[in-house]
Amino acid sequence: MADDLISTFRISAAGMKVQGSRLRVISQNIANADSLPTQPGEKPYQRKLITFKNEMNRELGVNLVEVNRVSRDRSDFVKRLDPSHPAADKDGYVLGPNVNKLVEMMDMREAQRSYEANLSAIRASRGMLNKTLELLR
Amino acid sequence: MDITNLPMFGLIKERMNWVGQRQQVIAQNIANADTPEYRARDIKKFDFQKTLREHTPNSRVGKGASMRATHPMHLTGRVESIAGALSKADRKPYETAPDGNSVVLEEQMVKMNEAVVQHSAMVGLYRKHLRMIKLVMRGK
Repeated sequence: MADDLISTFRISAAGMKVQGSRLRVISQNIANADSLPTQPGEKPYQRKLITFKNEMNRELGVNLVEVNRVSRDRSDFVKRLDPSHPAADKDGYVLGPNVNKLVEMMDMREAQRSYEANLSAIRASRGMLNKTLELLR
Repeated sequence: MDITNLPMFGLIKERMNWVGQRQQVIAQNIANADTPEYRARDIKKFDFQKTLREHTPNSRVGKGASMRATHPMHLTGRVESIAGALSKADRKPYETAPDGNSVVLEEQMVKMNEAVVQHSAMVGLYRKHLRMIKLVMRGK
């Protein structure tokens, strides 16, 4: 039983770790929400996406969640009319990053929520383990 | 009655084992709350009648059946993570996200709290039972 509870710590810690990586990607997206190209024909910042997978950890004998891959969002860039910009094309449009700050904010909240859920799982397991150990007293 | 092998303690131990395994499965679900195509899992319900039968002295069923290894090359059939082997994907999840994930954090939280309460009930029972035995031994 103690083994089960101790591996629970590792499972939840892995969950927290991937949510941390997710937050990193999200903050990168938000920070680059205004990264425009410097020359016409150049591409602006392309939004990044992160996905997870559940992988068997042979050492522990349990499945731990891991980052699957960080890919680029292939959706269209935003066009803004700004003829004075150095990267403006002949019609005066500049390509902007495909980052929607609202979407990023929602993603951030979700990551935060999942992180806290993992944290409370650790807390609950710790409480159970402590209670069991208190039987020794 | 053997003092080192009381059926009550055996039952409590079994139940605590089950709760620990369930907690592991729930933690797994929570960790995978954002994994595409992940199905929420749960462990089989604790069968009290069966466990009681196995732990009652003079029962015909006796202790849980296990295979005997008569050769050093025989596998004992033990799996690394019992919880992983016993758990099954939930057939009727509350809802499934567009990416195929069926973990609902609220549901998992409820289950986790259930596990905590059941566990502390078992610890309490264990302590009570121990105190009863001590009382008898002290004789006052």
